[in-house]
Amino acid sequence: MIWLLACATEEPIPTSADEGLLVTDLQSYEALTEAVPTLRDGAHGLIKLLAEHEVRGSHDDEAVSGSYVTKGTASLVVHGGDWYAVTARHVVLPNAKTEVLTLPSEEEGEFDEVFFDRVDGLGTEVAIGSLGVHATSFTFSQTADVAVLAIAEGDRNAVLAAMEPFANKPLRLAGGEPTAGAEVEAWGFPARTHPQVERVAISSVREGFFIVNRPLDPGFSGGPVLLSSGKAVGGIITRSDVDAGQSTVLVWPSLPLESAVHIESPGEGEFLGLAVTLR
Amino acid sequence: MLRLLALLACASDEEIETVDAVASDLYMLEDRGDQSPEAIARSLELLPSRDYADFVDLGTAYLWMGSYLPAAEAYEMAAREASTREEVVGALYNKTAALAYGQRLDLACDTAGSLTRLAPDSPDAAWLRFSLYRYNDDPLGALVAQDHLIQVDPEAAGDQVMDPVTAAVVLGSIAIIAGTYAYVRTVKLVPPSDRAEVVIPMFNAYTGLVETSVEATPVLPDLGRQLAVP
Repeated sequence: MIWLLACATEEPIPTSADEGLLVTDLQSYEALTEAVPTLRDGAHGLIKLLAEHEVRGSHDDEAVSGSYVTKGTASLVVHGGDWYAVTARHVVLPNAKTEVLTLPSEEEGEFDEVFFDRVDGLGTEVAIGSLGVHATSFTFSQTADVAVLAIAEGDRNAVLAAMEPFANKPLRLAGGEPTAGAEVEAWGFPARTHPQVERVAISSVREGFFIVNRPLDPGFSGGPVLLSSGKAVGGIITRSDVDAGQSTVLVWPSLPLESAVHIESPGEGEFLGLAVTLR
Repeated sequence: MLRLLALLACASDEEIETVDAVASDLYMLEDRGDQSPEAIARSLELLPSRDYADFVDLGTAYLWMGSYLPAAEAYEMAAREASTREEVVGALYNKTAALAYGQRLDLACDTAGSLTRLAPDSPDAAWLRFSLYRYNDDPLGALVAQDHLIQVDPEAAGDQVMDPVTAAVVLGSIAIIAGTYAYVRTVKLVPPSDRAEVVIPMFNAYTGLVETSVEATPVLPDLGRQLAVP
């Protein structure tokens, strides 16, 4: 602010500024009086996730690392008044068993391969929705492909602005046993922005998951499967097998979060013996 | 309303005659008289108390002088003095661009993120955010911003966004280049020497963001018009 005191007509042109005033904090502006939105408990809509993953490790006793960006889908779930993005774990966490990453080269159209003999650590930055909301914490299962990202009150409007609602009222989480032959809807973001809905049929039901009769495109991962009644979320899309022509869906109520890993964001934790950094 | 008249003064020659020519040429919100940007800046620096328009005009005077970080600071103060959400949005838009000109791309990206949260339906804000992330070599941020841009400006979808060269957005040696509609769309690292190329596209977007409730046919200034460079 020193430059504000300049008064002589021949004063030099100011070039520096108060660093604190260069930072933007929406809490600083009195004109902004936004109420924190609230929603009833249940599943409300679809949110696109983009994640930049980093894998750190070694190859031939030399440290190596690589990063890549993936996309997936989450459901906005309100539970006890708190807001969460529920998705597949592999959408928000890179593969801990990575042996090779194929990454775009600096040469256009070329690719480089990064080999790993051992993976020592994982890092991920997840953007929830197109306004780039960051989770306040990550909770993910050690055994099942599911993750829960907590959303701060101050980020609720940004999440709502980017959300594709399911219906005019919240959907129940589960509410019926999936049965073979039943038609269901798979929701996800295989396209760049707007979500897609695929009508598929349940071809097989097993303990904790069921199979649908179509391979779903990349980007559906973590998305919900709505039961045909359109009133309940039946599960989370976790795998797609093009060769087999089918996809796997985790049944919602059987998500084994009892042994979950919880990491405050940004923060560091441990997953399968590996150092994990999330933000 | 006076501010609007000043900003729209370039809409026609007839309107220009009704307001102070120097003030309108410099894109000041208030009539600052027949003064150079340096003189305007110094007079505003010495004011015992300043309001929103004073800080915006101070920032704009600094833009004309090429003092981009002090301009960003002045726009931040304008946002703090703002009485409406729209005024905050306008101030943050200009702050974002000023930070980009001042080579502070990380801060510019953060401010653009705040801006788009306040104005999620604004194509101008979305374009600016996307351009900043792209040139800050932030692949995740650029993809997220691209999603948002396509949501608010569907015509941006496809190769036009993936490859700005095909989107008729010129990638030159200047910092902010007016696109088809003379809005700020592309940011690069070296500011132009002609300050008009900084101020005019910035204030076209500013006007749209702040005066959204005013029903007026937007008339964009002729980019070929030669303004005196202070």
